[in-house]
Amino acid sequence: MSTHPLDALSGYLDDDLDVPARAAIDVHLAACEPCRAVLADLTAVRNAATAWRDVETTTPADLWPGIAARLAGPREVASAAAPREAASAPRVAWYQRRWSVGLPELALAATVLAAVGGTLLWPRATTPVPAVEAPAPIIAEADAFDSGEAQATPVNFADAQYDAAVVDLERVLREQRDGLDPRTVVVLERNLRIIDDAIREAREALATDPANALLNAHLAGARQRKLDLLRRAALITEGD
Amino acid sequence: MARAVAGDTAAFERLYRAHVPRILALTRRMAGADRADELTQDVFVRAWQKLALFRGESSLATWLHRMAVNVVIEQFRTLGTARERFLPEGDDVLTRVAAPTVAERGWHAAMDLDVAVNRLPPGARAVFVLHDVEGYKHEEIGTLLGVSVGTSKSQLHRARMSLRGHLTATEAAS
Repeated sequence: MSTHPLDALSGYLDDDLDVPARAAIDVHLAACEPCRAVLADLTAVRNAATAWRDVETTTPADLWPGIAARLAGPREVASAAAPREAASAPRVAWYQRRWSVGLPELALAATVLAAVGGTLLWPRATTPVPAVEAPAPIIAEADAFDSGEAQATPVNFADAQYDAAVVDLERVLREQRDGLDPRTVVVLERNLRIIDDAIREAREALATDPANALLNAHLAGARQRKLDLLRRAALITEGD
Repeated sequence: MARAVAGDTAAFERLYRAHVPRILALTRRMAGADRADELTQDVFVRAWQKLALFRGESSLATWLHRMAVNVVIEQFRTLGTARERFLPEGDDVLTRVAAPTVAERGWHAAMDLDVAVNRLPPGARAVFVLHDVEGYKHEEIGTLLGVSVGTSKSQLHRARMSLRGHLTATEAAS
């Protein structure tokens, strides 16, 4: 072998060559110090990568609020026909899938909404929030699913109350923004955008299907989560 | 787990907190720090949506890991062209033979692997991370990325050589 077999060195390192090719590399390496050095480097790179596997990462920003804000959409349910442990599927907007929702999924949705209402509705902390009155929860329509007969009844969202609360909380955040960790601000703003997108999509879908109970529930849940997120942020600023 | 499947978000939050360090590490290695947080959120939202499909045939950690790989790769597919994703053939990273020896000087003293890997094109980085860090086979990588086994092998070698090149450059500058 007269030239340096660089292209084959990774295969050699990974024991991925057939016997004749490996023997040829062995012969070359015995006589070529530069190629031995390259092989040593490739080994070092691979070993460093292996050690990297066990390194865990922490993030200064808590990603959970952004995740929690997105959990109200439809979930897949296990069935004999479902692919086992499927880990990927093309994304379909939740409102595009609404016609395939059956009674079991509606029951599950009711459970999800009830759980979200119980855990995210308002912070459990007893700390008072600055000068913002909490509006009445707007997620009670989840009960409509419990009967198994989702009634196509538009929901009263108490718009004025909701809008006033959002305006007040956004004002608090603006005033206190400089006191927040910039990374928290980034995460907060990103999550608010996600929720606002969900609200916008729900409104657009409702424009063509205003009596759809699932859409109404989704919109109510999204608006509730926006309030929740703003209120949590307000509590953070107060804690500072 | 059962409570999370049933819709208990508090239970799911506990699963999230137990697994997020590994998932975040994976998304950061594969996609870079800029997109890691958003992708990690995507992973757990998808996990929530599909949790009922988890049958315990593998560990939850393995299931989430696989899901995270898929989420990141889907993101890759939305990025650029194949040319931007992989290291070009004929790149001079393979021509440098008489370079300083990484093994003798010590990897960690010379460079930050995290930084160096982030300099790779997304596709080459994915091949390197999946094979050398995560232990995937070339056949699996080819299927995941939609490339041939030969391309996976070639890109792995070029990625390793490129990382070695970054190391050499770092040493020369120091």
